Amino acid sequence: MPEELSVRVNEWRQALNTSPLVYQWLARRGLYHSAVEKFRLGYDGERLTIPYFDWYGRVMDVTRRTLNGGEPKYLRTANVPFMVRSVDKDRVVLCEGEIDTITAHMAGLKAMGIPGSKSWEPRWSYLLRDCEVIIAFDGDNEGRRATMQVYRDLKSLGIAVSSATLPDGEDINSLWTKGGKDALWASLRLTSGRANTNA
Amino acid sequence: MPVLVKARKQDAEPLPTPWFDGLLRRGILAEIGAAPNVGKSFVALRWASHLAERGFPILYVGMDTSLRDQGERMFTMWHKRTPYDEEELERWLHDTEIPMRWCDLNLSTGALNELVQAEAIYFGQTPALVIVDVLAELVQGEESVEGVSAVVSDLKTIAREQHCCVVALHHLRDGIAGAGNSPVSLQDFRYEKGRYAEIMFGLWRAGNDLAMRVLKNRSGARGAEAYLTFDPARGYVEYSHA
Repeated sequence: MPEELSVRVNEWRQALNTSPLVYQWLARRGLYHSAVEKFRLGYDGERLTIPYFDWYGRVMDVTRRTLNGGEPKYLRTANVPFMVRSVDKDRVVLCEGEIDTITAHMAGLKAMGIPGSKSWEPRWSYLLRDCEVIIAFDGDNEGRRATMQVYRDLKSLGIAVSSATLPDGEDINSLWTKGGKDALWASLRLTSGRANTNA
Repeated sequence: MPVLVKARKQDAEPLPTPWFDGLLRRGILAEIGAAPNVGKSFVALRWASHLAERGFPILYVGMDTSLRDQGERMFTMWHKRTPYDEEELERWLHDTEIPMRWCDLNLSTGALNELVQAEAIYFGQTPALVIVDVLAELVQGEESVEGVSAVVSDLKTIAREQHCCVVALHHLRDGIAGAGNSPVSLQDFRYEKGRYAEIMFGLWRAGNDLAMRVLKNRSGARGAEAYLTFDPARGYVEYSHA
């Protein structure tokens, strides 16, 4: 099954190369060819495909995101965090959704994403046990509610955690597209001297 | 038609180890009992290292050992020497790509279960081997017969339901004459005498070597022994002879 999925991911990756409209969609979100390459993004003819990889580099799952505002916005088969392997002993930005997570990586940050504000599972706290975590969920009511829950769960394990309250209506990707790395880092109250770059 | 061959416990995926090869399997609880400072953590770590080198995902839960000390032991085992300095250790721990993760949190068995599930997400599969160093840390405050039974029973359930091999390191009861230098029996184990674990090992010093014996094996023979050459300063634990 993972082998089949891996083949499909490669096909979708090729399809994206011949889909300028998808590239335009990505470019509007400040995600360029390097993001496509690094995260092996693709296009299945209807949706953007975002693969999930296991420790061994095998494709485990694929999320499909609509590009034209259709519903549902995301098609997922499993409720698991995105980019768990970027979590180690460093500072990690905890994001909402794959696009924000990819954006954070493009901005030179280590980041892990939860599928959505209602998807958090307390056991995921253990993945962050050795990290300094900055929660950076969307600047809306759902994002703030989820921030409080996740903050409590992480604190209960003794994890160093802070929350970056994003401006109303903003998320990681919108801050990136409007103001680039500086605006994003400022919203997260980061300075370049404390960067954990991996991009 | 009669069932000629039933699925058996030993059909679970066996795990390669440098000695007693194939005895450990996914889905079982095993225990190593030894007196303090004999070397049970090194033995467990040697198995973990052997498996990790072969790509098996490993979780080492060292509740009475700091992450740094766990890492230094692993470094020493990997390089056959201690790290030159903190920087070398940090760099190696950060950069080395081996499927092995550490945890030094104090956990209940419920929390351990959640940790194993989280690690399954991290690796993309359940850890093949989960080392609990040491059982006493899980049992703390629950030292009644019922309390200990519940903890060990939970470990067995984690092994079975998460499809991993849980190896719990086990202290011996107090007051054993010659503890550390004489053969270990099941009666010497502080908490569990063999009700739950599928496999139990005793470990003791035998001259300059370590001796390890299979005290209980629910799916096969017991009594097998392995003598190990052990040099903790170099992190060296290797099979010597039977």
